[in-house]
This record gives sequence, C-alpha cells and structure tokens, in this order.
Amino acid sequence: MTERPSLNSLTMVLACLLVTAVINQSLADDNASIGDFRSSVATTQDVQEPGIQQLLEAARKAATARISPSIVRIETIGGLETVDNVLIGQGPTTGLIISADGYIVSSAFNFAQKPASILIGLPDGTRVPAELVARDFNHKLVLLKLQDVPGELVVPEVVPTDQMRVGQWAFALGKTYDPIPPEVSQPNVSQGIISALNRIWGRAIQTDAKVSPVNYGGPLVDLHGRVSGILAPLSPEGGSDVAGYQWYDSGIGFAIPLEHVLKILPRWKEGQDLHPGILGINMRQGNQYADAAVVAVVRPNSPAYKAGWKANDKIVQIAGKTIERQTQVREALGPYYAEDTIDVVLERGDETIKSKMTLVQKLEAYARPFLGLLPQRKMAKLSDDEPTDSKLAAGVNIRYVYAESAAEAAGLRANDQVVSIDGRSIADINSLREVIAASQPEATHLIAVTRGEEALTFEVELSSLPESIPGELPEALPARNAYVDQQPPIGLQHVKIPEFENDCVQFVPHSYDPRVPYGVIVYFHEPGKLTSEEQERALVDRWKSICEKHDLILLAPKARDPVRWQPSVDAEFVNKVVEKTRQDYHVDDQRVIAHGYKGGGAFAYAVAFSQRQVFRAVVAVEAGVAGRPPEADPAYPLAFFTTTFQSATNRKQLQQTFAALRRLKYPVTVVDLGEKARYFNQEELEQLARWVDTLDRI
Amino acid sequence: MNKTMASSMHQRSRQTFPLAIVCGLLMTLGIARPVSADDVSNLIEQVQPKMVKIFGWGGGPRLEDYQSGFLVSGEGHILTAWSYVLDTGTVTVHMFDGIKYEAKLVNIDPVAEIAVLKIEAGGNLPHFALNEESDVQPATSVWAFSNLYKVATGNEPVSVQQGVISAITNLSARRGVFNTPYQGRVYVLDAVTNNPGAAGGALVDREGRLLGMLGKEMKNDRTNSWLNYALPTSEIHDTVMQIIEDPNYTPVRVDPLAGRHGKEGKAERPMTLQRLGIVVVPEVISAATPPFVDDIRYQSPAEKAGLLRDDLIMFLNGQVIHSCQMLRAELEYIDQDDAVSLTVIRETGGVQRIVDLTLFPDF
Repeated sequence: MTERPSLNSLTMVLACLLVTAVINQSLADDNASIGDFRSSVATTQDVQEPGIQQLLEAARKAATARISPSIVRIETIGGLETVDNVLIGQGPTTGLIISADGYIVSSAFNFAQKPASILIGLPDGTRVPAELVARDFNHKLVLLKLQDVPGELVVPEVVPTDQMRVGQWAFALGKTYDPIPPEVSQPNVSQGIISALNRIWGRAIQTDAKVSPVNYGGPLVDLHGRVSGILAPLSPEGGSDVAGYQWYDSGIGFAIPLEHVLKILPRWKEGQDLHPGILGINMRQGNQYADAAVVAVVRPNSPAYKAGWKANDKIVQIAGKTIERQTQVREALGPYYAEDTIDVVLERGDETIKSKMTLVQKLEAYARPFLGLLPQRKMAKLSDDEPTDSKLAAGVNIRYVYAESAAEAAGLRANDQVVSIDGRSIADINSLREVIAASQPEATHLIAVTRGEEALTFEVELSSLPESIPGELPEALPARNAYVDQQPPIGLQHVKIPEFENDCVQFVPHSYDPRVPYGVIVYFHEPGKLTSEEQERALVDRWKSICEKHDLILLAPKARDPVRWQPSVDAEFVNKVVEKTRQDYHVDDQRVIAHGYKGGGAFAYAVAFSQRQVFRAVVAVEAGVAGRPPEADPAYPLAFFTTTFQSATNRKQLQQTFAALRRLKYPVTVVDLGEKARYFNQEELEQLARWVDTLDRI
Repeated sequence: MNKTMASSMHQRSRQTFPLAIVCGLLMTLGIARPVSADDVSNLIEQVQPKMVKIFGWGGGPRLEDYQSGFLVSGEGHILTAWSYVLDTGTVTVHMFDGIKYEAKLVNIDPVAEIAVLKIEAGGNLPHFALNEESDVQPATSVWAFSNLYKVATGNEPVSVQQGVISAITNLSARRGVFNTPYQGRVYVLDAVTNNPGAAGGALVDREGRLLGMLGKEMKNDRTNSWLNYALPTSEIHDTVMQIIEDPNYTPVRVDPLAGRHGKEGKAERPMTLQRLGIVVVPEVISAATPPFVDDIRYQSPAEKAGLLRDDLIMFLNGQVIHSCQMLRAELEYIDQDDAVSLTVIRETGGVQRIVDLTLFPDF
C-alpha cells in the first residue's frame, strides 16, 4: 500500500463542515416540505399562520393518501403456527405492491408455514388469490405474486438510501383493521422519525413510529409518501421469524430498505429463496468491538478456503467498505446473500491480497481434526523471579500419545518436544491447538520434534476425535513440591453472588496449588435433591478424592426453585458462579464441564449450548439432549459424555439424539450403565475424571 | 418488551417533540416567534382544568385504585370508564387545582362501559362540550390526557401524550380477538395510551375539542398485543346527555348477542357442516388444517348452491376462516335455519378463482 499524505487540519475542518451541511440540508428539506403544505391548509382563523401541527397533519394525510393505493391487505388460510407463544399466521397482514405485473412484498411474520391459500385485498376492495414465490431468510421478508392482475396497479416511489437521514419524519402504515362498511380497508398510520440507519448488521432502517403486527409487511414512508422500507420484526440476535416481536409498539421498529428489495427482485422473482451468505471463517477471539478482523480459522471447503485464505490474514475491506474491527465484518456482510459474489481485501504480512468470493448458505459441519496427543501441562509462574524449566520453555512436551492415532502412526512418542509444524515454530500448547483446529481430518502436516538430543521430523495425517476413554494416564504435570504460600479458601464452601438468593456448593481440593491449572466440574443437581446439608455433604464426599487426585474443582449451584431448573432464571447465576471461580482460582479453560443428573442433565446441555465460550464438555446422566445443538465451532470445542440403560423407555430416542450430535461431528462417548437407571458409582466417576483429564487433547 | 417499558419510552420520546419542531421551523422557515409551541401550550392550558383524577376501590399491582375522568357539565358531571374502581361507597375526585371532592355515581352504561359521576362544586366549572366532534380521519393529530400510572397527585396536571389517529375500526368484527362487551366504533391510536389508570382520560384534537374517551386496558388475544384506543364522543354522546338530564334513565342498547343466541353468543340450535352437506378434509394438525371441501352430500344445500369438491373455504359470512377447526367453531354462532354465505377459492386448470356462494338450509 502506498503511504497516504496526511490531511492538513484545515481540510479536515472543511470536510467536517461539508458533511454537517449536507446532513442539515437534508433535514431542512424535510421541514421545508412541511412548509409547502401551508397553501393547502384551510385555517379556521384566517388571520393566523397555520401552526406546525396543522402543517404536519396535512403533510401526513397527503403522504398517506399517496401511498394508500399501493398497500394491500393479506388474508391467509392454513399455515398457522405458534412460535414463542405468539400465534402467527392468523392475519390479516399487510403487503406492498412493488411491480405493475403483480408482485407484492410482505414480512415473513405471517408466513412461518406455507399457507394453503393467500388472498390479497387490493386497495379498491377486489380480492385476488396470490401465491408465495420465495422467501428472504436474511431480511425476514416474503415475495407474493397475484394470480391475475385485474387492473392497473400503483407502484410506489422509492426513497434512495443515500437520501435518508436520521431525524427525517417517517410514517409506518399497515392495512389490517377491519373497515367500517361500506368503506374498504383504509391504511392505519403511525408517526415517527428515522431513528437510525444500517441497523441489524447493516440490514435495516430503525424508526420510532409504532411498528407491530398491525403494520408488519407495510411500508415506512417519508413526508412525500415515498417508500423508505418494508416494516418487519427484526432482532439484532437474529432468531426466529417472530424475534423482535417483543419490541412491538415500543418506539423501536425496523424496516428493510425498499431500494434493497428492488435490487434483489429479479433473482427473487425466479422463485429462489434467499439465505444469509457465509464466508466460512472464525476470527481471532478477543474483543470483537475493538480487535482487528484477523482470521483464526478458515473452514474447510468454505468460500474463504477456496479463495486461499489463511489463518492470520487480516480483513481490511469487504465490498468497498473499510474494515477496522471484527464487528464491521458482520455489518458489511449483513445485506449479502448466499451466491452473492463480493470483493474482499486482505493483508497477509506486508502483502495486500484482493480476493473475489461467492458466499454460501451453509458450511460443511466442522469436524475437529485430531493429532492424537495429550500435552504436558505447565505450572504457572507466580512471579518473574522463579526459574524457568528449560524443557518446558518453548514448544509442546508430549504427555501421552493415543493408541491408533495419527501421532502414533507417524511415530511420535511421549516426552517428545514438538517445536514446529510445517516449518512454523510452536510457542505453546495453545498455538499448536490453533494450528490443528484450523486444519481438517486427513490433512497432512510436517511435525518437527526434539527427542533427547535428536531433532526429528514426522509426516502426520490427521484423524478425527476419539470417543473411547484411555486407560491410566501419566501425570499431567512435572513433579511438584507442596505449595505453602498464601492460599485462597479451600475445601467445602458456599459461594454467594450479590442479587441472587440461591447459593452454590463449592469444593476446592485441600492440595490446591495456584501454579496448577484446575478443571471445573459444574454439577447440576437432580431437581429437589440438593436442599439439605446431608445431601450437600454426600455430594462432596462422592467427589472429594476424585477432585484431589485429578486437580478438579467441584461447583454445585442450586436452582433458585429447588425442584426445577429454569434456564431464564438459573443460567445467569451459573455464569456468575463460574466466572467468580475463574477469577479466584487457576482454572484450565479446556476442562470446564457442565454435568447433571436427570433434570440437571437436561439443564447442563442447555447451559453448555448457550455458553460456548465457557464449557468444553457436557456430562449428562439419564437425560436427553435439551434444545437444538449448535453447529460445531473451531474456536469452542464441545465433547459429550452420556449414559444409557437397558430398561430406559426412551432408549431409542436417546440413541437418535446421540446420532444427531454425531452428525454435527461432535465426539459422543456413551457409557452403558446396565439394567437400571442410576447415577455413576465410584469406579465410573473415576473413569469420568480420566475422560475429563483428556479434554485438553490435541 | 413489556408494557411498562414501552409506555415509559413513549413518554421520553414525546418530551423532545415540540422542541424539535420549533428548532426545525426556526431554521428553515425563518419564523421568529415560536408559533408551534404556543399552539400546543394553549391547547394544554385549555384542556387541563377539565381533567380530574379519580380514586376509589382497589390496590396492589394488578388492581389499581385510580383512573382518569373529565368534566362534561358546568354543574360537575364527570365522564369516566365504568370499572371496579367506582364499585365503592367513596369515590374521591381530585380537581385540576388540587381540591378534593367526594363523587356520587349517577349512572352507568354497562355495554359501553362508561360511568357518569357528579360532584357538588357549585356551577360554571370548566368542561368539555360533547357535541363538538371535528372531522376525524386516520393521520389526524391527537392529544391524550390521563393520569396514567397515577403519576399526578394533588394539584399536579395529568400527563399528556401526543399521537395520531392510526385507524377507525369496529371492535366487533373479529370474534375472540377482543374480550369486551362494547362492539362499536373506536379510534385506534399510535400513542401508547393503554396504561394503568389511563381509562377515562380525554382524547382531544388540535383545537382542544373532545374526540373521545380513552378505553380500558385491552389486549388483542390473537396477536397477544395491547390495543391503544378511545371511544368516539359520537358513540356515547346520547347516553351521557340522557344520564345528565335524567339520573334514572336506563341506557337502552340493542344487545348484539340477544335473540336466538344463548351464552357467549352461540346459537341455541347451531348450524353444522352435516346440515349444509359439506365434508371437509380430515384434520391432520388441529389448528392448521385448511378447510378444503372433501365431499358434498347429494341434494344438500351445498350441492344446490354449487359448492364443488376441492374448493377451499376462505370466508364464512364475511369472517376469514383459517382451518377446519375454526370453520366448525364459527358455525356454532349461526342458527341452523339461517342462510350461510361462503367465499371459496376454486382452482381450475392451475388458475385460482374466487367464488361467492349462498347456502340455504332445508326446512
């Protein structure tokens, strides 16, 4: 890149003034337009100037009258569905005519299921059947087509996106209230302003006019009756067709720019459903609002992969928009669809790379590649004065090589020190883990190790994660002396979080050593079974020796309602308890486990699915998978440890849910506990602890 | 978003409203005096003395013991919503200037759910005229005055909200949507006026003329959303004037459900699909099976009217029908001897047509 001459300060000031002037001019146009209505207002007192209220009312009525012939009322039959406790599809709902040959756009809110029949009430009261042509899953809109066009349709004028300014008047219209006979349906109106542009990751206009089921699918118009956008319930978190509905009438409403809709219309007319477009990368973890858009993982066979992207590439421009932070990537991609081709500019070291890529709707399920080893963990240094163990200083010392793994096949051995992969040196365990995670099963890599005095290089072909549990494992840490300095509290305690009534039972091994990374078992009790001191003591007695032996901390949060787990209430408490433990103790991020029995097991799934960045595994006993499992994510591995019983009535159903997890390429370890449903015995707990010990595998 | 948050947001956004307009005007039209601010402040000065705050029975979060009302005669007649708040021996009214009166319940209209109270405060009280209604249309500017959430006490003026008439509609048209005895015309508003204590408030136009009375809290059961509305003055004018003239007057209203209809408006001898000779497709999913005609009985009213197999029933007596289940339920509101009008969608050669039919039951 060439060096840019720095702007002198005068130019900067002038530029700022110019921008301000343009914005002011646009709002001034808006208000001057209201002034235009002065001549059309009949005042009751001739001597007085018409007030702003009178002018605005005249403008509003004129705008409504102008757009009304383009708004239709939609009735549907069939396709009713209850989503998030809202019965949708019962209509009527609103639509907007967007072409003279009978195309109508509406919100997906009333079309969760394909209706058996759609009837359009045209502005003159004529009813015409219509069909659903296609959906836009990215903007939650639907395209309808009249079966025949009975007369001339009025196509509205569009507000160009570059003429929209925050602060301009905006009217939200629908056509859902029953008319009073003999009148035909009149539009309903709500007044507001444009509150923001480029909302919902670059997709929508925000308005403070009241937006609700009475006008979803209708237009947001400007002072002149031109259409800015199509009203739709939207939520920054995405979600179902009705996400965003909870904001109805709140003064937070959204509309998809009509200009955008017209741009996609030719494609949409062909009957093609439009989906959000995916690049196929994960960005480096950190603060997405502050950090540069540096690629951490390129998903195999994704558009980014095909364009030759690599880990550590920095995205600097997408479709002409400059990218400085990770969130801007999401904003820039927001309006684009699968099969759209966009230009992206990357920086790789000193090199600037331009790539053109076609986005896709779906990525292949991410299969985490497996090298087949456990790394020797490192003792944290508590101060800089301590001597560094030269053997552990750089690279990764192999603690254990899995039988029949890629590492074993290639000839790697325990105690080898991995120093580089494909010629790039490996600083620590995390960097080796990142490189492997960004690869794919069956890919080959050259791994250089030192074995004693020897330097050796091996070619390995990666495989997939194992589901079996290894036998006895060598120690994860070098021999250590008892730690005698100041300690945080150890043993059995009760953790309280301000503002929460319930507490959490915590057991920290008496041998706790702040230099050692500890795994955390978050145990969700069977509903109603952690209410007395006896139950607490029995729980801790069961885990005590295991925690001491395997460097584990036990957390057993109590449900606020002791007889049931409520994700909406209890999940936040769990997060805070785990967070506090991570602050107070030395926790190994790779070994934080959600574990539960019966109802607690179902809750463990729910918590782990929603807190990907915290939990690395779910251990559920006598519990089915609750909720829809998320896609596997290279940045946040998730493994499952579950049980079956011969007598379980839902045995088949359980097997199906395990199969569903495996289809998403998660490793699922299933233990058969015999005839009757029960919790783990001591020996099985020991086996579980060994499995937990392997979760930092690479 | 819950309702409380929605309405408080609404309040906030409205506070900045007049200021924005003034600035805009000064900047662009070059008008030196703040005409618009005077417009609104005159209006508000004129209306506030007519508003009252009403306190009665109730208490607790879901059972507010307060509501709003306004004077409709110089002699102290107050119009408000008929509710449990008034269901007590002592109803207290706080006037604009903070003076308190015990109010007497004069009479009520249980269908429109309105009540007239009277206070003894001498004559010549500022009040609304009930016969001044202006030309109200969708997009007309309106101001709503009410003591929502009991924000005002003593001599504090009630809260003012600005909005527009969003729509004018009948509450009756959709059965099961609104749970209300009143089934007439209402003004739907785009301001969030549906708040505790707002019922009985006044809706006025730009000139301060009374357009209607704010209705009780009401939810659209189908969309699970709250309705912001007012009863038009013209709908209640006659009843209120009669009550003021004759305290013993009993409001006469045609009960829309009276006649051959029993409890909840259902017909005592309801119509059935069998009587019409219609067989609909078997229900796969109860709420979602569209009402396709599967078969028609020989010589039945349906056959005589020209209904065909595979027709999709879309409207029954003007009411949209979403499913087989809803079709059966709606027939229960029709007497078995009444004619039934159907609008169906018929597909022939890949083209859909709309066909209107009338079915006359056999006697």
